Amino acid sequence: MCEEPTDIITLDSLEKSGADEATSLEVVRRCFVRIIKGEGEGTELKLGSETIIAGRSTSAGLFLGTSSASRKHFELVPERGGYVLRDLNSTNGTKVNRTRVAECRLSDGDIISVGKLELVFLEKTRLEIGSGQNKP
Amino acid sequence: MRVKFWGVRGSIPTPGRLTEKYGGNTACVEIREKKNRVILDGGTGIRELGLTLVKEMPSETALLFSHTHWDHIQGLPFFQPFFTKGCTFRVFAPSILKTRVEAILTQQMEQNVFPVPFAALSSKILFESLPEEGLQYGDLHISFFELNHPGKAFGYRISNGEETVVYATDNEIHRAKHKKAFKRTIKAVRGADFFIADAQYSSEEYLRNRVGWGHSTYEEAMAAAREAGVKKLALFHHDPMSDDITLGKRERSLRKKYRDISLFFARDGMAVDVASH
Ligand SMILES: [Zn+2]
Ligand SMILES: [Zn+2]
Repeated sequence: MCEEPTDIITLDSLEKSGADEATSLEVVRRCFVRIIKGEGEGTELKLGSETIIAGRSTSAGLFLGTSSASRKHFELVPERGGYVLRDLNSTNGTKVNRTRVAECRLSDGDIISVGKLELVFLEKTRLEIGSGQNKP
Repeated sequence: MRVKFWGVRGSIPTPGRLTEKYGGNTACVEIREKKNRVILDGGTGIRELGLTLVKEMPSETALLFSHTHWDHIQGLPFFQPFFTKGCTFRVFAPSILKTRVEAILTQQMEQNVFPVPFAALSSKILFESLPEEGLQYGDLHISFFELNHPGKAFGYRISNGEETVVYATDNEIHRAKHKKAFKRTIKAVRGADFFIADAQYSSEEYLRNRVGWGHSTYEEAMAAAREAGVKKLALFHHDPMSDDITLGKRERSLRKKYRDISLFFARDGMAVDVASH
């Protein structure tokens, strides 16, 4: 699951913080969608534990500013550590890497297109310091 | 009709970061048309499918197998609906395959290799012969044809009267080296809207040392799809040696080369509506 970020950990900062065996490092994935072509270019949305609806409706969690978009066009659903895109029976369809899909598990770098609007799904993985609670 | 890919890898599962985009599960495809559900092959992808299926009880599902090589049956001992009362499966198979599937399912769950015997499963599993002329299963017509693969494998043509899907994996076709098989495949696929085709290798890989291994190339699958007048082509049964970067590059370059047909590399977890363009 994509979690809230904390500060970046480097080996240096670990030493300074006096981290010992009780500290655990965790791999945390943060996921985003960014509009890379069309209205709102450069807009980035961080995905969390809630389902996001994307569409032309102003109340959509992710606004798609194109006449090709339906009011509720697709949804991004957090599922088992990642995100699944589901088309919501949109009129013009949703493509992932240029293939029209009803559903697709997203992976880093996937290009989502709705008409001429393009978005990229990004996944950033990094090491973060854990609470050490997992240790016996 | 909706087609969902649960496992797209050939030969052996390939877990890990290098293959997470296209997926590491072996062959399993689900076709849904209204209340009718057909599962093609029981590779490791079927485990996850099972988790969604047990939520829709009671259920009846048709099960079809291309053949009984490992990568097409491996997920079955971990297919939860098999262990669930209220789930019914109708396994349709050409008679020669029917005997083999029945035997292999039992052997695959023998005590030495698996703790629960096949006979103890709580679901209802019925084995039925699929006649030459095919049969009607609810809203779907299912027929089969022979593929070119060591030990014999079968392809399936599934139609709801308006749309047709053909599933043909573990099939070696080649315009020069396996002409007969190529022609037979075209005949069976002709006019299909959606063709799921064995395309394990690039031409280079195939010609280097994989002739006779029972699998095809992207280029031959593409040629067959084009000659058969297919609208949409899913390249399937990815080689375990092909990582995401390799597959991504190949997918992009094939698309550039063949603009007249809608083609893609199947991915675990991807669903496609046959009617959509
Ligand atoms: Zn296989
Ligand atoms: Zn095989």
